[in-house]
Order: sequence, then structure tokens, then C-alpha cells
Amino acid sequence: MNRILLAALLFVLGCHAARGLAQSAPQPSLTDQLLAEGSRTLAAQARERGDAVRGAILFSTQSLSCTKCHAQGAVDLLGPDLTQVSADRNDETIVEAILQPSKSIAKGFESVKILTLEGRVVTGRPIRQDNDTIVLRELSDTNRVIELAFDDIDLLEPQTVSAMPTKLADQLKDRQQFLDLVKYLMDIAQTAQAPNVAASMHASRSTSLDPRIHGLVLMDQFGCVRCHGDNAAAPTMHASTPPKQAPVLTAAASRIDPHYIRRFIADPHGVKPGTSMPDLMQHLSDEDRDAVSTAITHYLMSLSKDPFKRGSIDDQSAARGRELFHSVGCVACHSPRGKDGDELMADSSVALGDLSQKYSVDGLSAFLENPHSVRPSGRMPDMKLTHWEAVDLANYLVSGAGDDADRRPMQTDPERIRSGRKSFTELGCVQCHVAEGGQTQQVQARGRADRYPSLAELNTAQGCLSAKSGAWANYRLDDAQRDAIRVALQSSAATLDDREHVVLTMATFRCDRCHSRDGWGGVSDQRDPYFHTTNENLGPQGRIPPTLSGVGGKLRSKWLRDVLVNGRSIRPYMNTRMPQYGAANVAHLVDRFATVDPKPLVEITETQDPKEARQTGLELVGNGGLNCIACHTFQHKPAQTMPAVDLTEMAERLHREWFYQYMVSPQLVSPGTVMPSFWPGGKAIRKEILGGDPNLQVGAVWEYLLEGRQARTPRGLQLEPIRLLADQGRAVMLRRSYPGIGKRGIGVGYPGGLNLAFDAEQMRLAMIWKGDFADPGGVWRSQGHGTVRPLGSDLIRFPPGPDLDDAQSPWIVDEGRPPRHQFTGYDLDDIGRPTWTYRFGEIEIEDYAIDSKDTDADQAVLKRTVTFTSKDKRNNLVFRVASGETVKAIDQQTFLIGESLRVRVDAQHQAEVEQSETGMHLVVPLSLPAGDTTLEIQYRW
Amino acid sequence: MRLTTSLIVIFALILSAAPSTRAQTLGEYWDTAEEESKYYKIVEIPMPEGTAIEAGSFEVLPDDRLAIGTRRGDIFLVEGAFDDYPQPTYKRFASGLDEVLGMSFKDDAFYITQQTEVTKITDENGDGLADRFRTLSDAWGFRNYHEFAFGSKLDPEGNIWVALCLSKSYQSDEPFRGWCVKVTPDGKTIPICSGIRSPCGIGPNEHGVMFYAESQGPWNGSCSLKVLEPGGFMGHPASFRWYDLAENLEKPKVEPNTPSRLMIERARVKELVPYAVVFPYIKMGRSISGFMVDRTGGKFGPFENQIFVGDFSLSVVMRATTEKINGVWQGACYPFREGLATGLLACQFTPQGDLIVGGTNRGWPVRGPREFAIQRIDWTGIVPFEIKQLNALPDGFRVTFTKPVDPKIASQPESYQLATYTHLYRQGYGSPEVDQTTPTVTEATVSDDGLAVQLKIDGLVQGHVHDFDLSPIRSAEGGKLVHTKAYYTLNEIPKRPSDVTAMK
Repeated sequence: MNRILLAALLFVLGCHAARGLAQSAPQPSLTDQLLAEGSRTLAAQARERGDAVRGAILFSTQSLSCTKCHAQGAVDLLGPDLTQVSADRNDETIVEAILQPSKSIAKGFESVKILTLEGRVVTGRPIRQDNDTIVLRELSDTNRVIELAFDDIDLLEPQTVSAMPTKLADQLKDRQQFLDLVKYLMDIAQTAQAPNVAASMHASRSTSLDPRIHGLVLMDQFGCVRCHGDNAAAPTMHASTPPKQAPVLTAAASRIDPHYIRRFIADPHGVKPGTSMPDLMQHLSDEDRDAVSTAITHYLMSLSKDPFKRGSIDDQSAARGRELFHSVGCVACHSPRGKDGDELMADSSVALGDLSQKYSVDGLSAFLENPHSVRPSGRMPDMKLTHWEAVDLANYLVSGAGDDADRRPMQTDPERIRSGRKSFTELGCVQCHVAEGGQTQQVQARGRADRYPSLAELNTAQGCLSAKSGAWANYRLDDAQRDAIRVALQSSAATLDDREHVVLTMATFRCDRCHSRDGWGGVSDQRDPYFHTTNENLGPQGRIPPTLSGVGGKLRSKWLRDVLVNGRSIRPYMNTRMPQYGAANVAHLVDRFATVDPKPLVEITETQDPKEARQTGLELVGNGGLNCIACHTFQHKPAQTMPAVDLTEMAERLHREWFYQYMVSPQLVSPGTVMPSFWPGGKAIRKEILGGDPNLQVGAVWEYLLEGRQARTPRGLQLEPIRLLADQGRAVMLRRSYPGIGKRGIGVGYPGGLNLAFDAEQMRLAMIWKGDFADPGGVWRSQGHGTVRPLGSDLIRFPPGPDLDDAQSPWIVDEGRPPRHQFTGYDLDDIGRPTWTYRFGEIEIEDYAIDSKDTDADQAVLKRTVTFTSKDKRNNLVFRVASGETVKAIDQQTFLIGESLRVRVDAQHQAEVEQSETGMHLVVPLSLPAGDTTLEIQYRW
Repeated sequence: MRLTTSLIVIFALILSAAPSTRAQTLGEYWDTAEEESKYYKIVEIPMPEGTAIEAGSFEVLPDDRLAIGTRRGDIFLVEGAFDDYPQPTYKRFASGLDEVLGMSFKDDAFYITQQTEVTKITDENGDGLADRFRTLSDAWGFRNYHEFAFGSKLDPEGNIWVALCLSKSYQSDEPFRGWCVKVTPDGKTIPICSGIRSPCGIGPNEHGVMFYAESQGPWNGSCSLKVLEPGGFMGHPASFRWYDLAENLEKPKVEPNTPSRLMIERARVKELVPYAVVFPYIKMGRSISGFMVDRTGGKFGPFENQIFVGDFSLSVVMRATTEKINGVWQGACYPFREGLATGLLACQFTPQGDLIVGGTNRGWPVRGPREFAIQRIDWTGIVPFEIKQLNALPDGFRVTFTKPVDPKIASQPESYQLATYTHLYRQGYGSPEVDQTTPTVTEATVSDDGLAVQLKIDGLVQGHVHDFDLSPIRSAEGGKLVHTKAYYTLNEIPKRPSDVTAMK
């Protein structure tokens, strides 16, 4: 322990040193810049320009961690409750307290450094002391409270340096953030009204299990009631959970190596130390044990349809499995493993034995995918593994079988099968295990009354509960376990109240390995490193399963059931999964939690006008209000900073009363949360909304959240931009609405960096531009009512009307469809560049453009080839090549359109400039012979 | 740490007796998912990371690949989507299309329906990427994004039926908006019927007759499956203005009155086709969408030859059955599976007999939380105890079950709670349930095999939805019904028993 503490201390010092080095960098740190400005200026600026809501969010972010030491209502943390009235606190001292924490340390918050007689060094803030002992909250781990006897103290030295980190401002992005933070602190200063509540950090994790409940858990684990009848009227065992059933053995011998089965039956504790399976043959000679275990193995083999096949290990799969094993939650109960597969915490873990000797890959994978089919009692939970995850995990756990594994197939022998079947019953295996299909016996109906005394009649000094060996089950109990069982046997389960039933169930299913409740349980320090998150910004809440204290007053029953029974989860950022224990085993907790945990007592103001409240709630949730959207996920779309719990699932999950309480005092309900308080001391930060009434504001947010999935999107939800670009040398295309084109636009982004949009309703080249292709957000978001937005630059649009038309009687252009033009589709060349095809009367047109570069000038050029196919000769046609405000001839073939577009028409055609109401056009008059005619045009701009 | 219990937050108490005027919510689930999952499990079809695949249509290719047409205009070809534990690989076959809401594959060609047109798509050079796009028909006007086009798969003659959404809920601004047209293999476009509002699925019913899924809105009190009867009128008169473009059809002589009842207007407007299966709003979805008939030969459980239809808003799948009584199509709908991950637009049975469903939650309120998803509903092999089917009889209904019923309970008339209602047929948006009645079951006769019950009913109401609640019914083993509700739209009461048996 000492070593860990020292290491932590050194780490902290190291960090400070590192920061010191950073300071010497040429760019002055934010702290230095701010110090240079002076606290008076900064205070005035913060008052004027700081945003308290943004400050509130900063205050509780993980990088600053202010709330670790400053929590509203808490008195024994490292720092003062900043909402408390303090004579020393004014605008300027708030600025100073951040920039120069040691300048003035708040009274009562000085820290001391202690050297113990053992040589251990502890630095912390004294939170209590009497004549004999002093209690410190540690500086290096704010969660830890240490009690030291004065007799053990060699030296106690007051510190002149504040516990508050220096250079804290360097964690901020910029000066504005500093002003925001200060403004928030100004707003909350002296707002406290509520009486102090004892600090909330779970210092007392050691609360141990009631010995009686501990005994009941052991009796459940070892299945005592499987042999010893319980008194139905005054049961010893609790009735809320069906008694534990040992694994179903029907297909055990195809899942498990028969050699392992034989060795395990012969010597359960030797082969799998820590197993719940008793040794039933300690009264037999070694020879007999060997014969019986072999016979029972043969019997079990006779029940399995498929023989055992070890299978081979896929190393890549095993590597993924190792990752899964140490992240999804397996190691909450089982031991984490070192590189060589050695168990690191065997003593405090549920034993697995040597799985590499035991299972086949397929056998273990099938078991892991659906553990309840073999172990219906759910003590080994379903980890919600996908099939392939189960395969990976099995590959990992089964790998490492040494060469010593006996790989010879075992041949069954009819005589042995018969004898094994007999021993299976006589030894009492059948009391716990189901082996044959129809052999599922009721616990009470096994005719064992004559063989085993009932629980009430037990002599607790004899048999299984004695340390002696004999013709009874030997569980290798230690003295503490025997004592606990004896205590349990002396009392009746009938006297357990609902609260104790909850504890008993939680202990039975080891919920306490992950969840704390009322000071008991929770992730142990040892296992803490195995709980991970996908987003560190959420702090410990992002990786440690939530406390179950008061959970019945927090979660609505339907949600709780969904989580317990139907595998629903709300925290995608938490790598550890909430396992499934089976409805029959744990569903009773839903009602019990609701019974024992009252909903918080809060007064709720019913809103007069829910519609208006909802609207206000929308405003509050958005970035113009409390900016919930800055951190919370909305409709599965995570916020930019962190993926905090989805807003659209809040009202479905939570009791309204709990929500009210949490919103006002998040730190008290959930210590260490990064959720800021927007009503510190019961006063609103956003005073201009709903008259600053906290109750009405919280009510409005709730009213909004009640909309659930159909809640309107709040302002400030940042959407990832979508950019559609030509990719890997291939053109990109999108048919949709473009600006200035009807709904039948088709845009093409060429890999060479040119783009065009064709109008498939009016058969025209509608626009060209350079650079990136398009942002399809307008048509790919929401209902798709917008248009595709061209990206890039140098966009040139051409006016409506078909490119090809009759010279004498052209269509009078409007927004609609020209009657004689018909789009017929397109073909793509080998890099996805289209050839548009359409008909004008009897004429077939193919229009193909490619992106190219002039070899001499490196200028991008769009080369367009239009092919007209006519059965007969056709005169009086005109093809519009380009349009603009001005069209000037540069030479015979080349024209300048507007200011920047140069168009070159092939030498076989003579283009003409035409003036119309809409501007000037460059047109090519056409007289088509029967057959194909080709027109080539180049666009440079 | 008993903070939560010891902390008391006190606010000023302002009592208020204001009536709650809650907005219409998405509605509760049936709350049957836990039970449903024992019989039909939902299997995730993983998608490639970072690719938005908003499924709008599905097709199975001859080589057992799944083809997905998307709202973003892609066609993906997926290998391995039908595996027990899918780890599929996706390949983009075509892109740049506009809301692919209908897809078939025949003779190496895709036939897709997109907003703008029906297109035949092929890969001429065999490199695995589409390179030829031929417009088979773009005969309809398209000037508003909401003018969605839903296309059927190829019918036995190779035609594609296209249901064309109105311009908005109340208008038909462009040619054939609010119509169904049939596009023939050689690209001819034949107008079929008018009166469509906002379709969200189109395909044959279990008897091979073309139907479409209509959404609640103007002239539609609730969602419904309707038959696309040539020359018929589907109920929304905004589309009447395009009869001049439909040389083969005659414009109805009268327009429907509003507000009225469908039964009354049916008598006035002879072209008006009554809604075959009404899906009572919220109880049975809020925007019914793509549907497909189970032709798996029993691989999907006991509902062979029934229609499976998704819902966009509530992310559920329902069943429907239809029959033709006195020359008119009608039938029933039944809850099936809830809790899908996103808004469902399309569904597709696989060769293995599972049901692929998928879609997006983009644009409208949706229960399913994910932006887009593709999932598969697999039958576990365990037969659920369900109401299999309702059929109309001259004096009542026949209820068929998937497993034998407890004859004692099932023969008691009070085991069947029955209510009827209809909806306003009006220009305004949607309708409450109106004209409620409560008929009485006078006799319940259980068949010898225990699988069917004949109900004699006093008080059948023609034109009404008959809303059944069978909660007391138990199976022969004592099991409860997974879903206790079913809804029959009684457009016609069979005149003779033979009218019924003719459809069997």
C-alpha cells in the first residue's frame, strides 16, 4: 500500500515538474499571460463577458476536475464549497484563487504533510481530529481518506502550498474560457442555502456483508439445499431466487475433454482449486476413485451425441479474445491474466481452472454465447457476446494447452457406462446435475429424506461442515466459511426484509463486483484498471458502472426490467457490459428496488402550458440555454466533447422526482460526475429564462424530454459535414436537386477536379465548376428537402432551356419539361464518367464530357463530345454551347464567355453569337446528314 | 452513503390544475418484445464502419447475395448477409441514384424505381460495377422532394407498378402525382388508378394482386393496405386533374364529400376502392411501409402466405391477411415483432426463410434510435401461440390459431372482447376513431383440432374495423397469446358461406 501511495505521490510531483518544464517554452503559458493582465482587469472582464453556462460545463470537465474537490454542500473535501458564503471571496480573489492558489488558502483548507514512524509520507487536508487520531483526505487521491493515530506520527508539518493545482488555467483552451469559468464562480459565490450534507465520496467501501447473508450466499453457491430439505414454512434459504443448479451435463462430454472430466471427478479441488463441486469420494481408495470417475466419465460420454473435438486455435482470434476478456467485464469476477495466461488475482476471483485442458474451442464458444442453456441459474451471466466474440474469447481461453494434454480418444465401454450411471445416482451427483433428458428432478422429490437430514435437523459440527473426511461431500470449506454457514443455518430467511433480499441477490450474482450500493461493493482498487471507456472526458462515470444506491427511486420499473432482463443499455461509452442473469433469477429485483428505494422528495410545479414549457425546454437544452447538447448525445448522435447519456431516452428511464433532484444537485447525487450544476444553491444561472425559477426551468426541460424520440433537435447539435468527392481516380455522381436545376439534376465530380451538373429534364449542361464536388447535406439530411451544394470554386451556370432545339420553332422556355425531348439514360466509362443519352424527336444524342489537362499550360479542360444520330437528313437545328452576359469571339474557333470561360468549338463547325432577353449565347447551327454527326467543344475557365 | 434518501430538495409549491395537453407521442410499444424474442430473434447485419446505408429496397440475387437500394442512391451487393452469424462484405455496385425505393433483379439486370424514373441497370463490361443506366419511364412530374416514388418488384408479366406520392399532403402539382402507373418491360407507361396520398410500400398481396401501403393523412383516417384496382380511385381526389393524360381511364363523375364516411362515399363514387386492411393509428403502426408475402414454405414459422409489413415510425413489423368478399378486398392485421433498431422502409424474405428489414430514422419521428440499420428476423423454430388469422363469415368470424386452444376457455363467448369503429373520411388530416359499437359474441365453436373457433356475432357493422381482444384465450398447454389483439376491416359481410370458402 505504502509503495502505491508513494508512487502516486511521485507521479503527481512528476507531473508538476513536467509542467514546470513546459513553462520554459518560448510561448508564455495562459496562466502567465493572465497573470500579466492583473486580477482586477480580469475580474471586470469576466463580469462583463464571461458566460456562466460555459463556465459551469468547464467547472465539471474531466481536464479541470474542479468538482473533485469543490462540491456543493460537501464539507470534507480538499477544497471549500464555492457556493458557501465567505468573507474572503470577491471577484478579484476568485481570479487570484485560480491563478495563484497559494496566495491565500481558504481557512480550514490548509494541508499538512505527515511522516509516520514507519517512514510513510502522507499529505492531505485534516478533516477531523481528536486527541488520538487525525483523519486526512489525501492530496494524491481525493477519494481516499486516511486515519492515523498520533502515536504513529513522527512528524506533522503544515504546508504553505495550496492543495489546489497551480497552472490550472493552462488546462483551458483560451482566455475566454477563463473568463467563463470565473463568471460561473462569481455567479455561484454565496448562493448556498441548503444545510451542509456530509461529503459524498465513497470513503467507506469496506462495509462488509452481514455474516448471515454471507452464509446464505455460500449455501447457495454450494447448493446445500439440493440435498438437505428446507422447511417451507420457515425457510432457511430465500425464495426470491430459484436455488442454484449445477451445470446440465447432457452434452458435457462433447463440450469438455473426457480426460478432464475424469480427472476432475476424481479430484475436483486438485484439478480446479476453488471449485464449488464437492469431492464425493474421499472415503474411497485411490483405486476405487479412479474406477468410479472413469465409469462416470464413460456414462457422460454415452449421453453426448457428438464426440469431443479439441479444435485448433486461431491466434488472431485469441488475441481479440484476450482484449475482450479484459474489457467487457469477465475480469470483474474471474482473474485477469498475465501475458502467459497466469492468473493475477486468483485469490479474489471465481476459479476457472485450466480451461485449455478442459474445453474445445467450439464447446466453450457455444457455452459463452448462451451460458444459461448449460447453467440455467445465471450465476455465470450472459455477457451479451456476439457469436464471433464468443469464438474469440473461446480461442483465447482455450489456448495454451500444453503437450502434456492427453489427446488419445477415450473409448467407452458398456459395462462402465452402466456402472457410471449407477455411481452418478448413488454418490449424489444427481442431486445437483441434470444429465439425462428426462432426469430433471424436483429438488424435493428425490427420495433422499432418508439419506440426508433437512437443514433444520443438521448437526453443524458433523459431515460437510466438519473438517474431517468421510462419506460426505467435501467442499474444502475454511473456518470462516463454516462459521458463516452455521450463522445462516441458525436464522431463518423468512426474517430477511426486502432490503436484505436485495443485498442477498446482489451478493449471490456478484452485482457488487461492479456496482456499489449504500456504501457496499463497487469496483475494487485492484480491478479498477480493467474498467475502460471510449471517452475519457466522461471521467470515472464513463467507465465505472453506476451506483445502485437509490436505483429504485431513480429508474422506472420498465426500464430497470429492460436492463436486467432484456439487455438494454444506455452507456455505449462504457466498455464493461451489463450482463444478463436470466429473468427467473433476477427479475424480482425490479419490484424490490422500487419497494426499498423511495423516490426523492421534491416539490414539483405542474406546468400550466406543457406546449410552451416544451418550447422553453428546447431552448434550455440548446446552446442558447444550458447547452446540454454540448455534452449529451441526441438521437444517437454524440456531442462533440463527449457522448453523455442520450437526451431522447431520459424520460423513458428516469423517475421525474429523481430527475428534479439530480438536475439541481448533480454532484451530491452522483459524486464526481462531470455534469455541471446549473442551479447552484438553488439559484438559476440563466436568470432570464422563466424568471430564473429553478423549478420551472427543470420542469420545462423535463417537459421537453418527455417527447423522447420525437423531441425537436436542439440548437447547437453539431453534425459531421458530409462531403462527396471523386475517389480513387473514379468520378462521383449524384442525381438530385441542384441550385437552378429542377429535381432531375445529375451532378458529376471528375477525378481531375472539374465538375458539372446536367439537367435530365431539359437536356442541358446546367453548370460547371472546379475543385471539390459537392455537399449533399441538403438532400441527405432530414427529409431531403434541400439541394446539393456545389463545393469548390469558379462556378459557371447556364440558363434554362435545352441545348439542342429547332432553330425556327424552339420550345418557349419555362421551368417545365420540353415536350419533344426525352432522357434515355447514361453509360459510364471505365472511370465512371457518363455519356448522357437522350432523344429530340427522331434524333438520338450522346453527350460525353471528360476532364483533361492542356499539356503546355497545365490548365484543366473539359472536353465535350456530342454525337447526333439521325435516320434522315435534318436541317434547321441549333446547339447551344454556352451562355453568359457577354460572348466575344477570340478567333474562328475560340470565344470568351463572360469574364473567364473560354470555349473552343471544333473546326468542322462554325459557332455563332446570339443575343436574347436572357443574355448572350454561343450556338452552333446544325444540319445533320443521315447517320452520325460529331461536335467537339472544349471549356477552359 | 444514503444521500439520495436523506437529501430533500424543496421548491416553492405552486399548485396547478391545468389540463395536460400532451402532444401526440410515438405511442407505447405493445410491450411484448421480451416474449416475442423467444420465437423470433433479431439478428444484426453489421455494416461497414463509416458508411451510411439507408435501406429503401431489397432484392435477393440468384447467387444468394443481398442487394440493397438506399435513400442516398446507392446499390450495395452484400455477401454473407444470410449466414447464421453474419459478417457480411459490402460492395457498392452503383451510386448517384435518387432514393432507390423499389428494386428487382432479372436476367442480369436491376430494375429500380427512384424519384425521377424507373431505370434498368446493367454491368456491361463485367467488372462488377454498374455502367449502363437506361430510363424505362420518367413519365411523371417531379418538382418537390416529397414526391416519392415507390416501385414494385417485377410482376409476372415483367411490369413494374409505381405508386407516386402527392406533391404535398393536399396537392397534386405535377403530372400523375397521386397516381399508380404501370411501366412495361418495353418502357410503356400505363396509368392504373388515382387517389393515392403518400405511399410507402407496394407489392402483391398473398393472392398475387398488387397492393400498396398508404399513410394516415388527408382522406385517410389511418394507415391502410389498399388494392391498386385498375380504373379505381384510392380516396384522395387531388389527383383527379390528370385524367386528361390517362387516355385509357375515365375521370370519376363525382368527387367525394367531406367530412363523410368511406361507406357512404363508396356508394356515391363508384370508383372509390375501400381500404382493404386498416391499421388503427398508433395501435398498429403510424406509417406502415414496405411489405412482402411469406413464401418460405414454413421456414419462417406458422404464417406462410401472409403479408409482413414494417412500420417506419414505430420500428415494428406486423402481419396482414386479405380475402375478397363480395368482390371487395378486405382483411385483418396483427402485431408481430417490435423493437427494431430504426425506421423500417423495406423488408425481404431470404432464401433461408428469414426476414431482412431495414431503413433509416431520417426526417420523421421514429421509435428506433439508430440513424440506419439492417436487421434480420429469424424464427427460432419454436411456434408462438398467436392469432393466426381472422376470416369473415356471414354471421361472424373464424379465428384461426397457431396452436390448439384450451377448448373450455375458447368456447366461452366472453373470452372474446370485440369493439368496432371507423374513421372520418375527410379532407382534414387523419381521424379519430368514430362511431364506436360493441358487438356481442353469442357463440364460440371450437374445431375438433382446436386450431379454429367459429364466432357467431350479434352486431357486425359493415365498413368498420372490428377490434378483437382475446386476452383470456389459452393454448391447450395453458400458454398465453403472445399478442392478444387483431383488427379486421369489414368492408363487406359475406352473403353466403361459399363466398368465404371460395377464397380459402
